[in-house]
Amino acid sequence: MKKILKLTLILFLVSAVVAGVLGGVYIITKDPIDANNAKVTKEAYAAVMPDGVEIDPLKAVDSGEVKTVNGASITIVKYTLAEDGVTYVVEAETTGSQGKILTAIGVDSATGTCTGIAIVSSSETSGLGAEASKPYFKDQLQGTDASSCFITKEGGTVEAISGATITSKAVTRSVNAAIEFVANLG
Amino acid sequence: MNVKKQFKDGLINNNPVLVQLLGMCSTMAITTSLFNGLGMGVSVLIILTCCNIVISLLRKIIPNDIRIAVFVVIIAGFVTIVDYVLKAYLPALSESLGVFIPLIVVNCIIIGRAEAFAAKNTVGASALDGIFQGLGYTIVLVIMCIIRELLGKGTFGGGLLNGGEGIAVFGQNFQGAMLLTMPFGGFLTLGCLIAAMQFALKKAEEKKAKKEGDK
Repeated sequence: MKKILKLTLILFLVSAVVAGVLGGVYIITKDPIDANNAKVTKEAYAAVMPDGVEIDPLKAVDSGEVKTVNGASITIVKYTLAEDGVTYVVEAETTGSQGKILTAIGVDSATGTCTGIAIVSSSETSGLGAEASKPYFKDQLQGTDASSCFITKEGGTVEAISGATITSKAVTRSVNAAIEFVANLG
Repeated sequence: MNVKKQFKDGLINNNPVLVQLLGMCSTMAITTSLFNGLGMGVSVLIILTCCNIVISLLRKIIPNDIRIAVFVVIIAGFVTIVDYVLKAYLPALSESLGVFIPLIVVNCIIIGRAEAFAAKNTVGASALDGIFQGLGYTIVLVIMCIIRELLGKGTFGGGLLNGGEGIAVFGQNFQGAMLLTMPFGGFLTLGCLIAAMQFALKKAEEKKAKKEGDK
C-alpha cells in the first residue's frame, strides 16, 4: 500500500512539474502562434481576391453548411464578403486522397465565377496532389463558373494534375460548392 | 567518460538509424527536402539531449516500476515545448514537418536512449550521448534528403536555398524520378544506405581483425 502511494506521488509530481512548464511555454508562444495563423489566412485570402480588393479575414462568418457536388460532400466552413461588396471568400473543406483539404475560394457573386483559390491546409502526396497549390493548376480555376469548373474528364475545362484525379476533383468540386453557396446567399 | 568512443558510437558504430534501426518512420517520411531533414534532425537532437539530461538527473529518484511512464511524460513535455516554439518562431518548418514533430514523442530513439543510456549513466555522459546520437540521426537524415531530393526532384537545398525552391542541379526541365520522393523511395534509399553502412562496418572489422592477427 505504502509503495503504491509513493509511486503515485512521484508520477504525479513529475506530471505536475511538466504540466506547469508547458503552461508557461504555451503562454509565451501563444501570441506569435496566433499572429502566424492570422498571417497565413490573410495571405491566402489576399491571394484569391482580384487585384486591389481588400478583405478582412477577421470578419468571416461560420457556416457549416454541407453541399454535395457529383457525389462528393463539401463543408462550407466560413465565408466573408470583401470590401467591394461583390467578391466573397469561402473556405471549403473536403476529402482528398490523403486527408482533408481546406481551400479558400474567391467567388464573384455578380458573375458567379471563381476569382482564385488558395490551399489553406492539406496533406496530399508531395509531387502529386500537393501540386494543386502550384500556379499551373490553380490558375486554371480563375474565371471558371459552375458549369466549367470540372476536370476535362467530367466535361469541364480544368486540366487535372495527373491521370489520378482525386485531388483535382476534390478542389474543383470545392470551387463548385462555393459558387453555389454564394449564389444562394442572394 | 569516454568522449571519443561515444562520438564514434553515435555517428558510426552504433548509429541510431543505420545500426540500431530506430526512428525509421520519421526517417522515411520527412526526408524529401534538405530543410525538412535539417529541421527534424536538429529538433530530435535538442529533445534527445534535454531528455537525457533530465532523466539522468532523476535516475536515482525514479522508481524502477514506473520508469517508462516517467520517461514518457518527460519526453512528451520536451516535444510539446519544441512543437510550440517551432509553431511560434519557425512556422514554415512546422508546416512542412506537420504531424511528425508531435510524433517525436513516440520516436524510439528518444525512449531507447533514455532506457539504454541515460537511466544508467552520469549527467555529463548522457548529455554527450544525446548530442552524438542526435548528430548521427541528423547526418543520416541529411544524406537521405540530398539523395532523394537530387534524384526525385533534381534540386539541392529545397526549402532553404533559392527562395525555397532549391537549386536546380540538372536544369529546369529535369523531371526527376518521382517515386523517390514518395514513401516507397524512402524505403529504397534507406535500404541502400543501411547496406552500405553494414558493408563498411564489416570491412573495418575485418581490417582490424587482420591487423591483430599480424601482431
